[in-house]
Amino acid sequence: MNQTVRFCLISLLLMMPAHVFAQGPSIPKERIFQVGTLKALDSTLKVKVGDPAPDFSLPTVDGKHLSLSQFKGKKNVVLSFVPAAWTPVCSGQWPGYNIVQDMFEQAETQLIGVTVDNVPTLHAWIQEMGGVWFPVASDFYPHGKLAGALGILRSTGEAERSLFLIDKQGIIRYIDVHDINSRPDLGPLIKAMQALK
Amino acid sequence: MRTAIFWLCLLILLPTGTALALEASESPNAHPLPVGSTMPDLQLMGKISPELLATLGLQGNEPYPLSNIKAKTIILVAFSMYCPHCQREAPALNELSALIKTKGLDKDIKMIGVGIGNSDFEVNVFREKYAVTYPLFSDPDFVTNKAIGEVGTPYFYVLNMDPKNKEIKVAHTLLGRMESVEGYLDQVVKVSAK
Repeated sequence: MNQTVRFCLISLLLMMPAHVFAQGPSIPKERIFQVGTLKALDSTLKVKVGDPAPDFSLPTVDGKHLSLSQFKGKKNVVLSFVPAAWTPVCSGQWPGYNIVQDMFEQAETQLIGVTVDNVPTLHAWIQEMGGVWFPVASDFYPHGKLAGALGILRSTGEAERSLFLIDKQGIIRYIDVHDINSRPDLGPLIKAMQALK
Repeated sequence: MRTAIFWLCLLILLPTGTALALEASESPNAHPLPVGSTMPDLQLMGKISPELLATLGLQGNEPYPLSNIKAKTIILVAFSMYCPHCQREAPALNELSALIKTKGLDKDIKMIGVGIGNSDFEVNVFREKYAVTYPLFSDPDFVTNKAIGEVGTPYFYVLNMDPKNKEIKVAHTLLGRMESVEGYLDQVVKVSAK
């Protein structure tokens, strides 16, 4: 065996375990756009708890369309809006939801992630994240139509970091429009979901 | 032929190399406390069972000062429920805790986790999901994280207690997942207070 072949084979063997273990969610720091601290809230909410939620039909990263009406009478729905793909807090929020799928299922609730980014961007971002178990929908065009109807479209075109829990009758039962710079605590949302059962 | 094989191997190795990226959720403002420096006496918060508190020599209600932990050495793991690397590291951390006991080191070396930016609820989700065997504290307002240098997660501090001088010294640090549980514990033992 000549030296080049030996070098390559040994290198491959040495590198293989690292390659195997490095599978899974990982967004290197340099691929995350640092936004700094933004104005906490930059919109005026147009809905309140007890209001019917506006229906929507949004494309998802898996090539389908999701509407609120398809869940009516079957499942509660949580809309988790994050402001933008490839930003720090957003890239941290949804991977956490990956370990609470059982809590959503027990509460008969469908989680839907939403941003105002387009589908290809969301696809790339979610892939880089390592995937999420819930559908991710794009409110890109007409730009922020759903976010605008809810009153969470910021003047810069992003959505507020927000959570809406909608019951099986299509009524909004919980709203958390959060400071864009920080992640909402999961506890109050899960408690509100469990209270619907 | 040799050249062709070399380029083929290089092509295979290039993507493999990129997979070697650090397995941590990095923090852009991180400024970890260096080895040899003094760790502030953190005021640990969280809802911990009395049994687990007792393993640390603690009792009563939060906050629990770090300096009250009865140990020669503390392994403090900064984690987050939201950090995928921490999720994947959770079983290894349970193994580390078990190995400390198996080796009879659990009297001197104690292990704690702090959920950076995590509420009690979120810490509990992590605790239950991964059947975590060692005490986990919460840090919903990033108070502890500011004190420990706004580190990424997971981040490991090995801390040596110096009760005489009422100091806690940083003995070892690690950002990202352990390469191996046994190897990491060997490193901890090497730097731990004797």
